[in-house]
Amino acid sequence: MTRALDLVGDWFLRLALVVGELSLFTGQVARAAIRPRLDRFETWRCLYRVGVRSLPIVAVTAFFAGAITVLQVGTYVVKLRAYEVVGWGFGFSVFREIGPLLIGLMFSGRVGANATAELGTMVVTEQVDALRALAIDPVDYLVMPRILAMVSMMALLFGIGSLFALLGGVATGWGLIEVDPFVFWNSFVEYVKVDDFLNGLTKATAFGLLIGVVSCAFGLGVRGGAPGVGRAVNACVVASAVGIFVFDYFLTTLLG
Amino acid sequence: MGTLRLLVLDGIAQARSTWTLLVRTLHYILHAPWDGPAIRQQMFSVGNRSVVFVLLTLGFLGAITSLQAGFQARRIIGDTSLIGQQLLPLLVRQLGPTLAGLMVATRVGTGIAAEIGSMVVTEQVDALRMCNAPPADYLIKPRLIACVIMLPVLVTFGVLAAFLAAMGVAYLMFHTPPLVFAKLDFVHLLDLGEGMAKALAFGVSIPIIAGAAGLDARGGSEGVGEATTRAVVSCSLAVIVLDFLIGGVAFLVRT
Amino acid sequence: MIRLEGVHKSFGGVPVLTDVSLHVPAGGTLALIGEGGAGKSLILKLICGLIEPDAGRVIVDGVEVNRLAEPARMALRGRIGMIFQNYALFDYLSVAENIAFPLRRLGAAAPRDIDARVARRLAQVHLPDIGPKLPGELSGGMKKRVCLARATVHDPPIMLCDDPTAGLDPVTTNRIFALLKQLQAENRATAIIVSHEVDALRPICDRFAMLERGHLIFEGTPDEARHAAPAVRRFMTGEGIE
Repeated sequence: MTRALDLVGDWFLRLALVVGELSLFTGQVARAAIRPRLDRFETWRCLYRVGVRSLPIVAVTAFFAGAITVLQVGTYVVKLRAYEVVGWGFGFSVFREIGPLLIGLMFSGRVGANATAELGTMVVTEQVDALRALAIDPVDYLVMPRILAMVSMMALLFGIGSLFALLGGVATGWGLIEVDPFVFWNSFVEYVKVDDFLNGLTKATAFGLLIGVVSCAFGLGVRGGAPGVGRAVNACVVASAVGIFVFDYFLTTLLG
Repeated sequence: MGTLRLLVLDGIAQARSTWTLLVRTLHYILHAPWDGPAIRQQMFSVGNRSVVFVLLTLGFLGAITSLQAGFQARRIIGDTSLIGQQLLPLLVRQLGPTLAGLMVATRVGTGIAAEIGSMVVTEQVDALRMCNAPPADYLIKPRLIACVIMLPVLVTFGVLAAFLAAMGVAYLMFHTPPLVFAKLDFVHLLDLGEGMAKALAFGVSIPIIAGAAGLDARGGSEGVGEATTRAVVSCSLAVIVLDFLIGGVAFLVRT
Repeated sequence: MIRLEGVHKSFGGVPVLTDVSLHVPAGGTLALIGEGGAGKSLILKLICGLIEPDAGRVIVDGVEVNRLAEPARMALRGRIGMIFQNYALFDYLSVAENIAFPLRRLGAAAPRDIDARVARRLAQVHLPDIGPKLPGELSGGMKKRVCLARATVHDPPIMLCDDPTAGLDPVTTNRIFALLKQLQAENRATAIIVSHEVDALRPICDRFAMLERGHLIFEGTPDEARHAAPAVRRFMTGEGIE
């Protein structure tokens, strides 16, 4: 019993430590964001790499997210013989919930983990110290371009992903539920509002910010050589996933 | 275009090594003795690594879906008492298994890839192969068996956590009494079957994909890091694709 | 008996071994020398069948390794004791369990004899009391000796040693080589030793072979090396280095 309590206590202490460090780091980032001194070359490089790295995976994920959603919506649609609302159910769930959530989780696994590994390696090979020695602030030079890239790419990818999700949804609707693509499209256009899309876009952008801050914080916080990098990557993916769910909950409450 | 071609070639190579590993591991599962203590140890590590994580994330998932469903129900039919009975089947057959699968892919998949990858780059895997301990038999088999057993357990826990959280949110936000919310008779056997089939499929695919990524690791610690990130992405994608395939079959059975 | 005939191997289009032919008679000891990245470790892995050659044949005791199916290959590997460059000790097993591992997996000893054989081997490498420790708690020299114990605990008729003294001080180096010689003589094992320690190898190896960028540029006795190409002489004696 005491052992279980020990574990719980230990877990909470670690959680508090992580949250505390993240808050401090967020403060640093916020301060750097007030007077941004972005290195143009580094920023373009980050934008390019984040985009190239995540576009295929996000496209595939979004396609299947659309397909899965139509399957689930279809179960109700077939039961109630309400074919004309399939586009609504689909658009609503994909835009507001499933799309941002799945894209965010995949993005964190692909881009976030990579940023942590990259920055972590720079820390253990003393490249970050070398930057400091040149009076270059790693938050300005390394962190800000990455966060900017992740935020803008998440927003952009959500837009592109929506198209792919629609494609997956229409294809599955056509192939499995036998909903005519035109019926699907009409009910989609009729019932799904710009609000739904903007709601998802807000979530996706917020997740991008979250993943950016978390992955950079864990990357720069690496201690203890190469194994430390591995641990940090693991911790980053886990923390991002938890963060995405927590953010999602509060954003849903706020945005309604 | 060159990048895309590389990506496809890389994907094909990865799919092939994963498939080979699956066939080999199944061979050893059928034709070689099972190492009880190793399986128990892996089960513990799979559960230990992910149970808190799964409970926490799926709890939030339940709360979120409850909110979304509640807002819609209130707006359209003005009655939120039905969201429980509509939500639970969805949690059981789709949201629960998929999100739990994604979380396990993240937590356990990275763990397996990192562990095996670092054994590869330190030549421990070669040493195993020198001692009549093929990695598919000695390393992957216990992990596969442990994951196949533990995933249904984790999914069950996750669905319970999600359902309880959904119930709590429904009570706090929409004043739906828990007893009205918890209508279990809308869950069909087919929903349970679909959820469990997904859990089992994830239990097979996560350790195999992550294991193959680890065994393909090359060159020092960077190689291990690369294998780890690759494992997260591939395992997550596998979860999503399998979710679609099994969901599709279940849909056809249902209608 | 180990024989390589015209072996080629390249990785990603870069040739690592080019037309390498070698012969080590049963009970013979060959020292394989050369700069880092010359392909020495690769030769050892080809002999175990851990890596396939692109062309050529690798023959161990009259059997062509790359023609063997996996089970036969496993049996062959069971007759090879290999010391890995990076220790390759299983870091989740204790030292004693590491050494017992080949005995258990290869069925080379009855279960009740295993502990005694492990203890005897640990005593032989002068590390009698470290059985319960984990590899992570040992120094580099101790790890190498544990590797040596694990590689030879099942009395393999073939020993392959990949840089067994890398990064060790001269005293420990000599101790490791003495142990190697002793264990090799005990089993009358055929051995290939990859190393840079030419002087320490001289008394324990009957032949030397030198690799340079994937080409075998010399094979012969240490005496013959005195009259070999300048590159070989330089490596063997350290002469002529600016």
